[in-house]
Amino acid sequence: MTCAQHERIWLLESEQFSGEQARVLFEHAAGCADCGGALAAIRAARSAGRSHVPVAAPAARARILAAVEGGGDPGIFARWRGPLWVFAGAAAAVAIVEVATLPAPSRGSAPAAVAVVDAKNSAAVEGASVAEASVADAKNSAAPGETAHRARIAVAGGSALLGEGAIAELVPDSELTALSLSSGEITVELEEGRAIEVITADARVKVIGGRTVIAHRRARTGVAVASGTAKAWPKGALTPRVIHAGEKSELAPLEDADFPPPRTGRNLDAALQEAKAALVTDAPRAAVLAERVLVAVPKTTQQEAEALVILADAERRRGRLAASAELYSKVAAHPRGRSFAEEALLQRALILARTDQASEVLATLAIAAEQFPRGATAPERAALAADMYLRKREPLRAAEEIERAASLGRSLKLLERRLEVARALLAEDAELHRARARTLLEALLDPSTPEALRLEAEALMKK
Amino acid sequence: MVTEVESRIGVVAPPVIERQTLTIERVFREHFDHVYRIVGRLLGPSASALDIDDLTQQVFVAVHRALPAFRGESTVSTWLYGIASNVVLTHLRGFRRQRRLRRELDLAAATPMHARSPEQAYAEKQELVLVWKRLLSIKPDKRIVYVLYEIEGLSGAEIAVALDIPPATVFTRLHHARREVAKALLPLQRGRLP
Repeated sequence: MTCAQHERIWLLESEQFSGEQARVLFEHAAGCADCGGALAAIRAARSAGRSHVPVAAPAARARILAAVEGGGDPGIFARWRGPLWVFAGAAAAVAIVEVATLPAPSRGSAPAAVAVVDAKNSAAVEGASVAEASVADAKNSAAPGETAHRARIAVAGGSALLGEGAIAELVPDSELTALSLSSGEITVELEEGRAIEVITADARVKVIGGRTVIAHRRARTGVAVASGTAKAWPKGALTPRVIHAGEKSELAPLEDADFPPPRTGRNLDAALQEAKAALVTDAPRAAVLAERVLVAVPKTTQQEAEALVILADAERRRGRLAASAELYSKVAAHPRGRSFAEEALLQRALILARTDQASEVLATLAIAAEQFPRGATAPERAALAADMYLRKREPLRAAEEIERAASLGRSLKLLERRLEVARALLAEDAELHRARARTLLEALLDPSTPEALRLEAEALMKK
Repeated sequence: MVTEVESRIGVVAPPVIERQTLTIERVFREHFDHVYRIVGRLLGPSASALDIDDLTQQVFVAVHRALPAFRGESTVSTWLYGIASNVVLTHLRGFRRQRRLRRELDLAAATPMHARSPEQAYAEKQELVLVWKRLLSIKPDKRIVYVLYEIEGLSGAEIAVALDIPPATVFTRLHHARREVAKALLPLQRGRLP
């Protein structure tokens, strides 16, 4: 390349060159084979890159939201049934590895290999974060004269090394990789920021990065953290004990938590405040507190409505969506729930949308529209209703929802739905629906619209 | 919902819902597709759905933690680009991960892609593979700038804010990345005028 302008071409079509400078360079490129080729290559690469548009499956979206809201923790109460074999719903393949180490052979005999007791279908579990659900390798790390048998399980972000005599299995229905340790010792090593749970009969331990040893013997669970952090919940505890690097802790099951049910009005308010404060960081505790208030509180009071709201939120954060949807319905119908009803109806509709119950979603949104026609969540409700009609392949009704919402304010979701509805109308019958689609798209040409949406709208309008 | 509950409990006349209050639920609802797309594009077409799901989850967990400290110095979108870029950058630091992505790219080249016609699909796929093979050969920090600028359409100023780097650095990295990536397609384009 000998053209003096060539290096500058690489930053053409960027803010580095504008106006006259850009014009001169474009003119040059038009007449120079090397620079013209470079510019064409830049554009071709850009176009190729933009052709790749990753889209999440609906199940992935719901799963990730549940994991994020739960802080990666589906909740203590979901787990206290021992090693969990139950799959909620899907008949997806289960990845379970059971590894048992054999007893040490007598001195002098050949060391026994680690046996895989039962390796079931190793297909990746929907929603699990396990990268490789199999025994990665079995090592005999015995020194001369000693025997030791260990098995290493590869998990996302690290590995778990089982000590002699340890028996463990992967828990398949958790958002977070989890191992159930029946007995023995397990050493977990993880990259920074990665997490795994180890569950014993009397405790649950969440290891966060670094190296941690967990042992279960004689109805006690011991945790020793070499690096990283661990959070440990003895059975019966609602809040974790945090164990830092260099610390050890022995966990014994607690007696049933001594939270006396609140009886007086003052206690009820305090319990509600505590439940509300716990909602984000400890949803299970918030749920327990809210439930205790509901047991003690007089019916149809403001406090009952507030407790229902907190419980609905807590269940949603824990991934118990069906229970949460039911509770939101109760909130909306509660005689003192008016101030929460609009948001409760929207939350219920969003939950139902995750499970593709389009008709139920629309029914809930209709109730909300009747009670709160110009409420603060009206744009989001309209966007959701349009989405449901699109799923039912009724683009005309989706368009009606968007058009009705035109005066309710702008929201990103509503703008995105406009684009989707316009696209659906043109796909159904471009000739018949062109004018209507154009009207929908015109709102996206506003300069305040995100550029990506505006460009797509412009492209669609040219069709 | 927490915000609304907080604002209502103990208040005689419930205030109007604060529409601008950011909650993780709102951020998720409004930006999930966007974040998923960014993560997928930053990883490239050879990334598995599992990897994209996992990293998208990590992004939102990070967002959840960082939300209380977000002061609106940038738009939510720009802020999310920054978090997503950091999460992906950390993920890509593993050498084996890069090698695996390159290996998967070769497999992906053989897989049909949705397009208007088989010939178009093939051509688009081949160009995409060529571009990404080149991208995977350059350092992740330059690659991320390329993806954000060229594919996501952010401005240099937005990328500077998102990645917390000087604007001049954005264009230095873009210059390098464009030059490297274009080399993959240059033999096809040489002699053609734009």
